[in-house]
Amino acid sequence: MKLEILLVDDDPVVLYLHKATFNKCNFPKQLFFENGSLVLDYVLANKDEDKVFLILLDINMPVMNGWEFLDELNTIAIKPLVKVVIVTSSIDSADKDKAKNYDQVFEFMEKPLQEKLICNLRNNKDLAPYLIQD
Amino acid sequence: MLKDPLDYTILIIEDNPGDLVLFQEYLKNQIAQPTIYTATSFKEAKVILLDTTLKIDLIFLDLSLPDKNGIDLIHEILFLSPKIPIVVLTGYSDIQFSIQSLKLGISDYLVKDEITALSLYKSLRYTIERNKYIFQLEQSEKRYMDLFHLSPQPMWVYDLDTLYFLDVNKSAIEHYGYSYEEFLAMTIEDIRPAEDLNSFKEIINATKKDKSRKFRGLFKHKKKNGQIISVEVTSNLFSHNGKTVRIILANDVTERLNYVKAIVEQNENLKEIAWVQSHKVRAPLAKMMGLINILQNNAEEVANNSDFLNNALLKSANELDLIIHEISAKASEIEINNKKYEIGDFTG
Repeated sequence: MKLEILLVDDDPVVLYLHKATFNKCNFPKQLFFENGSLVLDYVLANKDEDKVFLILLDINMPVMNGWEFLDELNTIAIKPLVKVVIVTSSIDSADKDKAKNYDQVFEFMEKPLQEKLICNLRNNKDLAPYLIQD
Repeated sequence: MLKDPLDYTILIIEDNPGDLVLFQEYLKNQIAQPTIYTATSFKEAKVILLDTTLKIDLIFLDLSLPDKNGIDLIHEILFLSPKIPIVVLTGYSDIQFSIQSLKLGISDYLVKDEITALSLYKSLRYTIERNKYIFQLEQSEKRYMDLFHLSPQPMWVYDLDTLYFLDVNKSAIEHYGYSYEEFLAMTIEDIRPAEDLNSFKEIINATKKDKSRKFRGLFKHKKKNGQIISVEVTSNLFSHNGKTVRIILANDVTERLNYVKAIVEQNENLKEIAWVQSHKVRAPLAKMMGLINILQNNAEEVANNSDFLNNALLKSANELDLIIHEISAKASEIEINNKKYEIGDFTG
């Protein structure tokens, strides 16, 4: 039982801010990716029945954006356990509505990430079992 | 017997005093209160006819007056009063001439020796009624011609078989730049852009078969100066001098379409601005908020990464500034588009 936290954003400053927030909440070490394509490759190469991926996903990115990543993920036959939090600076409600169409997406957060909300993820019923072990 | 109660104003031009008295008596016999003017020469008749306040309904005219007779007399009287119907009073010897005079514009003729009170009255009544109808017909035709010729929108009539223009109005001449004569020497294919000719022929063939009267469509027309315009055409089928023709009302909507296009473009710009507002503006702002939060609450990060934090803050501020400049540039594009058109330009 292992939790891997994957932070995905094309802006290094945003990744730095995410990292600082996750560290404050005492989450295990995170991995960083600058677009959907890179994180998809990583997930496919490292998927494991014993593993869950918590992905903090930006929407607007070059190469493969957040939606394209989710669409690609849905085409894969054996689905790795992926829990996605969409993180966006958009205040466009259309994005929020669109996010509801994806089963893997369980949260929709606005940038900047709020420490309280991130710390609360520890209490999520799907994630908690993986964190106690830590 | 009941006399005709209507008001009639009648001029009798007759040089024979006996006939003159007799005809007046005949008229009074049938009409309750006729107003009768009499003239025994062309000279006297001219004075009366030049007085337009008299409102004469009908002229009885003897064709042989001491100072003028025959065709000359008819021409002169018609010239003086082209609208008043004339009934010629004639002797047996002049019957042939009287028949011919009908062609000159005389309404009726009566042979003097056969005139009775009734026949005189009957001729008067018929002639006046007929004249009223003719007047109404002329008015109605004039109204139609005015509607066509004075219409502020270009109109024309074309022959459905030959496609030649049969008539065009003033507005069409002004709008398309061709003279009336140039129009009448052309077919309606001559005002189409060459590339539209094939599709236009198909439409025309369909129109020929389709006997439904009304038609509406959007076409491209070519003016004499080569300019292509977008035209909303409304047309209707009718018969004209035994030919099947269509009357066309052409409404130039080029400007209106340009205006719509400008609005669509502007709308795109506004959408883009809205998108930029909700997606791009907030990105650097969100970073700044996150960075400031660290500067205030995370002493460990401030101690270890002070330079990085300061640079990132400044960079984010610059990004925000750049995006705001982009929005302001887009917004001024819209300003410029606004100035191109005034609403009034499209209500005409």
